[in-house]
Amino acid sequence: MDDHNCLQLNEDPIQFVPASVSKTTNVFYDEITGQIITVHSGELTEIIVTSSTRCRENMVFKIEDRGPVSSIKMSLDCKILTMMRTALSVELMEIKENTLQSPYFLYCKFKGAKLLGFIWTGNNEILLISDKGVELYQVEGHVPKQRIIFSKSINLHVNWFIYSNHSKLLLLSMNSFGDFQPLHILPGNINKLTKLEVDLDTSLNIPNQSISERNIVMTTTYNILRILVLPTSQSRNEIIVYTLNKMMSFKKSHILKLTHNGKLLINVVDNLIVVHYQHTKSSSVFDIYMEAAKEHTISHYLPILDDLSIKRTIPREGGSHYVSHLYSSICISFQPNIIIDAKLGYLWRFKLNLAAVSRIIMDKCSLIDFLLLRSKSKDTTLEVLQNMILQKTSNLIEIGNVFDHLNIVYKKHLNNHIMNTGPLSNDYMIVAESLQCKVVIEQLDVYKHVFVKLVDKLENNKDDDDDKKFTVSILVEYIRSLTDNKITIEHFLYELLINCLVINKMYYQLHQMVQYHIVIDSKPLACLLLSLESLYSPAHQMALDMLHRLNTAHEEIVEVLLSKKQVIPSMRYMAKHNMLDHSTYRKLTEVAISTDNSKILHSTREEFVQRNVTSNDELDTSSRR
Amino acid sequence: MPTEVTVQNFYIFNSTLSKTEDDGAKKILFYYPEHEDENKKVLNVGHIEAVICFARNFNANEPCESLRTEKTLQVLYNAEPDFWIVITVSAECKFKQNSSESPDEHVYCTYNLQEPIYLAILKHWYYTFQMTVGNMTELMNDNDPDYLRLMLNKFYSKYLQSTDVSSHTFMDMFQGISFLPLDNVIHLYAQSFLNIIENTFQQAPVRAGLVWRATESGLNKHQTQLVYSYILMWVLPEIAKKDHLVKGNLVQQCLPNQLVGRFITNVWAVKTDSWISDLGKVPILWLNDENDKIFKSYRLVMYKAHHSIVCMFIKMGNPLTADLYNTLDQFLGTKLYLLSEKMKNTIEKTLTSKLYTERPAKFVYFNAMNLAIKNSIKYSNAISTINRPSEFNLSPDALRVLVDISSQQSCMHPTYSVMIKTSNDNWVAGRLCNSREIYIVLNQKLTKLYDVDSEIQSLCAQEFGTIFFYD
Repeated sequence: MDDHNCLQLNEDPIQFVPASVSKTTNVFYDEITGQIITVHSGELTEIIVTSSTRCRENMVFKIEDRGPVSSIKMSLDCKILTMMRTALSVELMEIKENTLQSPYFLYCKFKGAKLLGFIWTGNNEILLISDKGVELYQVEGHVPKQRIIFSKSINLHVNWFIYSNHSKLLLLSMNSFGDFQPLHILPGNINKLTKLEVDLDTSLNIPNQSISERNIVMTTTYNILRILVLPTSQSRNEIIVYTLNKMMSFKKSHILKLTHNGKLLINVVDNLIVVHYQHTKSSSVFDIYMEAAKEHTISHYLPILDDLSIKRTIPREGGSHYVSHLYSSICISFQPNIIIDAKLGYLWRFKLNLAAVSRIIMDKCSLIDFLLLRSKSKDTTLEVLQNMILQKTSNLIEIGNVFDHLNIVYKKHLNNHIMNTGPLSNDYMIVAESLQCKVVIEQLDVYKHVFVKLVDKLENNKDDDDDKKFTVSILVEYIRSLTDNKITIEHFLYELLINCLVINKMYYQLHQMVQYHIVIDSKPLACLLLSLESLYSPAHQMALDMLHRLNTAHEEIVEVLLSKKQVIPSMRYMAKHNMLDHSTYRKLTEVAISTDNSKILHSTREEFVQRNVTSNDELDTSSRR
Repeated sequence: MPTEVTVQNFYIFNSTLSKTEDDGAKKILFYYPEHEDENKKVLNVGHIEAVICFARNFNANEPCESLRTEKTLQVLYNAEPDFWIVITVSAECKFKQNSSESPDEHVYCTYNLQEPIYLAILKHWYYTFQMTVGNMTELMNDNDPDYLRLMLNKFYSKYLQSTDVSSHTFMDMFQGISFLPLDNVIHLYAQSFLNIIENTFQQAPVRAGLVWRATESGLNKHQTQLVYSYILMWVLPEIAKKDHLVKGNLVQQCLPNQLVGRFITNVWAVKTDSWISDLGKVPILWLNDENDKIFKSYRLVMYKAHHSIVCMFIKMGNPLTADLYNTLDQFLGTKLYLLSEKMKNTIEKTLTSKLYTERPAKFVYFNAMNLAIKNSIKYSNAISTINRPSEFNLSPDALRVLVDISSQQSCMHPTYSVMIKTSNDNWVAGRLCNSREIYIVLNQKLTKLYDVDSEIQSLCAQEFGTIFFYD
């Protein structure tokens, strides 16, 4: 498999009996159940049902020929095979022990209506669509005691229809001028939604341009149903995206600027809209969640990836290879990521090769934005980051910007987390909804995958001063970005920063950082600073200040003072914090004796005598020493 | 009583330069006043040499530091082996004319002169000389004594001319740096900005520092201190002048893109370098690394936008080209402007949020560890004008007591506290703790030591809550 292609087809396509076997063979694909149904018409019609999800073995049925089949589908539980031969009725056949039972018929209720199609909307619910309206039925019981119950119908003129099983939404074309009636199909009921008027921006003002089934694609990206309106021959070369909002009405939301003309196929991979141009045999990729220029609140997108080509070689018998023409007119795309070559009998699924994408998108910030929106992109994102920093392919400005992009998402994620654990707040609800990123790069990730490696690299070649400086700069940049986004910085980053500054002997900078509270106070950091005293004497002062600010570290402060044999100051400190008692007496006296300063020893004793803390015996024993 | 301090003379000599009694003048490297009689010069130097030799009998390890006579105070600084810098100051008391005394009679009050102040000046001048010109021994060995004489003359004549030694008081002893009250975010912005400069122009500037009345820098603390004082002394007054100049000078013609910021050139320095002859010169400074003692020379390129100045130190090996200037300008302009604006906003915010309760106390705080200095002059003033510390408005007496306290404190580690009642019933206090010094003058007539102590305690608590200081 070629690794340089951003878009790839899966290695193991589903094979089915292709339509090219004979002229009387037809292939049907059911998006709802994901089944390919091949129908060989003849004296004995053979029906082969192939599951594209490999969840089931192929099913083969043979029935008598009763005329050409115009539509064939299985019910959702795969117990009823349904087919349409005439414009009047739908034929239902129950499957029992892999054989078809005798059919029963469902007729359209509207007088003189011409049936356009049928959809299994639920396990036992079937929807008939005719040019005079839609009818919902429930199928109950089994042959021969089956019952068909009428649930609901809506009377209106229908040209053609599109159905999305994901959101149970049926889109009816009412006329050829772009008026649509969306219906929300509920169990036993149908809801009419606000009408949708697609206004193709026709500069030429041709009145009778028609929007056909081929111009409309219904698909779900980022968990929201979208209607993509493909350009007609007269309209501008762009795809208009309508998005279903919370009020259950469609609003024009995005415009995708196409780079080529001609017939298009649309797929969705990992929430990306992929446009295949049959004419140029290339594909473009759009991401409607990336930033784009806005015009009247509608974002205009250029492809994030353009001129990609997908090639697929199929091994044939005898070792030769046949290059499948995915862009030929034989191939058909289905949502979300399915391409069917009915002639050869292959069903492929698209996938995205993130590693290849990360080599193609040169602007690192866009790349990071792109990757964070993909699922399972964490490893690739970290690789990109490593590449930028360890291989030094980016400068500091770019690295800083990339950190900002990472941390904005990280912050949202943290807020989201707070919302889930804490009480619900309205503000967080909004944030959570806008949070679409699939991947979050946390401090530990950056630490583990970037900084640790960077420091390792430093230790291996110690002479390079620029490298050392660079490490500190990157760390500062990361901390800057975290602080900017008001994210609490974890202890290990501070520790690393301090260690790096020490390796670089940048003590004065360290001093400034502590002084300006960039490094947040904590006892472990104070201890770290104390250990640096031999290298940089002011570290002692910084550590004491830090302990002082913590306000909980009285004992540590006393220890630090006593380690410097500052008996009197520590005694003063202890007196202020009520720490002078029997237990500290001995310690203080011992340190006082070790100073060899009679004044200090005397003062220490006097203090305790005055406080009546110690008995005279103890005084005597210690003075005899 | 008012005291008039005058510099009698100032000289630098190296005894090894003169072998016989006849060529005594050779050992003089610099002498002020210049037109002093040659014999007098030699005599003065010889006199001090004798004192040094005499003092060596008592303690060979620590050289003699000062000599007091009835009329003068001489302060000596042994900067490098065999190199001595000497200043002679005299102080005259100005009484209201007393009829009984003749008007010509001088009354000296040398006791009002304090060694630590002048020693601090000598040291500071020496280190600045080292930074702007170089090490005296090396200069002499690499060239000849005459070259050193020339350099010393260039440097010290300028400094003696532009500093008023007599006005130096307690406040000048520290040469501290006042840090800006920035919050951590802005400080990180500044750090990141400097890192980016260093990273982007790797081929050229090695270190960058930022001045906005105070520094955030990539230098070590002594370098920062010296560069800071150099900029305060020579660069800032220049800027104030230049801002009123009509635009359209040569620099702007050659660098037409200088919209937001501009380079600061033609600042006084002993050694300068120009990149294209007419476009202004940049100072050359000698800086040493923190770990080794080797001094390397750098060109100091300064760039100003809004209220901030970026100092970039470019190694001598890297040429300054118009190209570099242009890219620097394009790179720095807006970024520095925005950063500076942010800094200004936060500072103003912190200042307005900080309610200053008027206290009858004045204080000076100095931290030897990071050379930070802070005093009770209101910050708002400090921002609008460069305050000379003399505006601090303390009585000379109080200042003298402070100098005494401070010289006492330096030998009283680790903690020390003293409270002194002055003749006019005010209190002067000094405290030392955790390597920090604070000096307080209370303009209050307090009678009890306890009251004085609690007043000081509350001041410390208000000003220094975030540091470990005298609990």
